Amino acid sequence: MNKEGIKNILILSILIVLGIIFFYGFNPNLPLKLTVSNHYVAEGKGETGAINIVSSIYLGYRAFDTLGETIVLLVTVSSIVFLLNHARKY
Amino acid sequence: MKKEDRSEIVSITSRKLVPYILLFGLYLISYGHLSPGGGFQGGVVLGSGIILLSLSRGIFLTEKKFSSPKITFLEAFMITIFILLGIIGLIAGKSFLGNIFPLKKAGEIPTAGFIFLLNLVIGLKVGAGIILIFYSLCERQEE
Repeated sequence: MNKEGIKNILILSILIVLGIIFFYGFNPNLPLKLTVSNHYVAEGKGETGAINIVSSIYLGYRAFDTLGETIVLLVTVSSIVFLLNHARKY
Repeated sequence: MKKEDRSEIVSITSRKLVPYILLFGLYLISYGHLSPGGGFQGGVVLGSGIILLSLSRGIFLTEKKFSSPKITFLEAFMITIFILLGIIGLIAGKSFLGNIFPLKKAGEIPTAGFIFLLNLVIGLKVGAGIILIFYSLCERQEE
């Protein structure tokens, strides 16, 4: 058997083992923990002052996450501009 | 693009349409905490207004008004303001990016404190990014 066949069989066996683990490890009867989301829906208007719940979460409670998101955008834009302006040189 | 290549209808329509597109983008940004919308969406609308301007009037005229170094400065400066707003929250004794303004009754425009400022910063930043990508694509075409 060539190298590709061995690689495919290895990948398939890893997938099957992972599938068995996840199938038996998943317990659908766990109680749902909705405390945080219930708090956001109930108290978000008063605590952040925003009617739009999406805004109150992504700029009020999770503003640090949004900072990372904007930094990702900055890096994306600067890399695109760099690649398009200097592509001839490399 | 030469002047004869341009259609009169496209030119006049875009000239009349662009201010309203920019106004709509600013509306989406500044009402982001009250209605659907927000910084990212409003910023994309601002950027598309400038792109419409440069598609119809030519890239050179647009780049005279909204020059590439200015837009680059805006893009980088807005991130700095975002981080400075977070540090202001730290100085005031709250968490990073914590709100220092007083909260009034929910639903009025100046109630949400930092959310309005952050929406403004994100909107300008996203618009500047879209315009920058468009400019560099156009410059690549002309080489």
